[in-house]
Amino acid sequence: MASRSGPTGTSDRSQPSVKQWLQDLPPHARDDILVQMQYQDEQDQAAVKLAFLEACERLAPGSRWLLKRAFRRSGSAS
Amino acid sequence: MTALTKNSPAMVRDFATRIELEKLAEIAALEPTTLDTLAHQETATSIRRLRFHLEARRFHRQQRALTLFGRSLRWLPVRWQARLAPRIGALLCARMLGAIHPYKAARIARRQTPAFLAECTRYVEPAAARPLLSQLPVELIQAGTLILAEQGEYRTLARLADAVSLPAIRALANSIKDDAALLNIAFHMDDMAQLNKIVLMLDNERIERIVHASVMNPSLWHKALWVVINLDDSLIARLANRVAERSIKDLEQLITITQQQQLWAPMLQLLSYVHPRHYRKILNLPSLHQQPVMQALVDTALDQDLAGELLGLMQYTSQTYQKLIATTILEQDVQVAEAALQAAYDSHHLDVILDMAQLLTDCQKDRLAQLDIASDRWFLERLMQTAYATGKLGALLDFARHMTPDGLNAVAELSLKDDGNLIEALLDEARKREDGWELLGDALAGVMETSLMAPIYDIYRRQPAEDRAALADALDQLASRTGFAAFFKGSLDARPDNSTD
Repeated sequence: MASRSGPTGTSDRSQPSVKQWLQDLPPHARDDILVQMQYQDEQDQAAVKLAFLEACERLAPGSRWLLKRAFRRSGSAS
Repeated sequence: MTALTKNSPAMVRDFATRIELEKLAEIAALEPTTLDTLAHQETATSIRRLRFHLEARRFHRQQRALTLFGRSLRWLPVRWQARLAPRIGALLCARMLGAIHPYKAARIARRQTPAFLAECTRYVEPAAARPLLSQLPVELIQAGTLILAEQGEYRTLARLADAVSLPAIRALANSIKDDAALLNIAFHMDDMAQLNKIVLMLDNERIERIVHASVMNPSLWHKALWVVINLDDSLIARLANRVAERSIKDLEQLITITQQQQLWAPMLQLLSYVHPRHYRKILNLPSLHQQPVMQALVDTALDQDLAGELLGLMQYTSQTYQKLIATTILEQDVQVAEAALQAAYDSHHLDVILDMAQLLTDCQKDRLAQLDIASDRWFLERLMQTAYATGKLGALLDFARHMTPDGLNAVAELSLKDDGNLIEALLDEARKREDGWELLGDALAGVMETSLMAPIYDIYRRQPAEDRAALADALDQLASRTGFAAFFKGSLDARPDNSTD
């Protein structure tokens, strides 16, 4: 039988990190992936911000204060 | 099927890479040139690691803030926290899950609606969800799953399937009635051990329905192949045989899809697990005999290191099909034929090569037997051992008489090993066949190495007088046609006692 190389879901420590791996890619591919990462970060940031604002609207003052304080302490924009 | 569209940059030969590109394209809108670069420069493993990295990143954004918030709510009774959860929202709840003890999280989750839990599942990290899911009632997971399945959230469900217990999995599989949805979920799973356990739990009726769904829907076939070839051998065999038991019409449809999407590599792998009793039915399918299909099949087999699988199938096919495949191989570059012989050597299928060679025209036999590899001693030694072990010495003789003088000398030299054991066996074969002496004479006539004459002659004179006479007659006839025969006959005649024992 031919050898099969299915996904295992485990990480291989002998492999370079994804950041190192990206450095070795041709510039156009690396830049595209980095742009995608940034785009996803922004999308997620926006989704969390929206979720935060909606939660603030729904929560009682005490819980709202806790939520805002948590975001402030973590340095996240809210 | 973004990454599997024909002529797209991702139309790469390696199946695992194609699948990983398809999965990557689902979570990141990368440029076609980027996919093209990844397809041709990177392995499936690297692309999978990139996908894992992109997926993992989103579970950890704003983690610190939400962990702080989760911790600040710890003092609240579970009842209050359960009431707060829908107000906090699914996204924030999912992200702060890691900050809450699984036991407490489970008590909170039990008080939520399936719709809310389904929404949370979309955002939750599998590692954080695993301890929680193990404490939730199966019915609740089932209800949430159905909602996600209806929404087509297959990737989310695959993450869930990777993380939940087997009893829950059984309930999930039973509750999702849509076979295509189940296949899509399996396709997106990354924990193959878990996937194996899931498929093991499916009954034959369900398997049959899933196979049917993948036959009916061209966009599912590559997913079905991916799932199947990543299972354990016994399960692959079970599913491969289910596929093989489909009607001729369905199998024709699968061949068409396989050709359109160039899925011959996984298809060959799948076929190698099918029980031989199905081979004739499959290999006699008319669509499999079309030239482009055979071309693709041969190309894939040689390119993807699957020639062993192809040759393994060949021994069960009709001679007509064997001839077609052999001709397809020989019609290409010399390198292709060399690769085919090398693959036959590596996969121990040289007996199939001997069978197929006999079906060729003299011109094609010349081309095959005069390949460089066919004169290499290591190759010839295995070929001759195979011919001896499988009783195909006649085919070997036939092959040998088309070889170059160098190849023939090597054959003669190798035949003389072990005190001429093989050459004696060749003589036995010559006795049995109507054209045996002619074949042997023809082959011996090509031996130009004078140092080999003495040992050949010693064996020759050990033979009964009538056999020597028959061989001499064959050589006489050949002598009139070929210089080699004359040379060899002359060598034998020059021996002192060539007519007596």
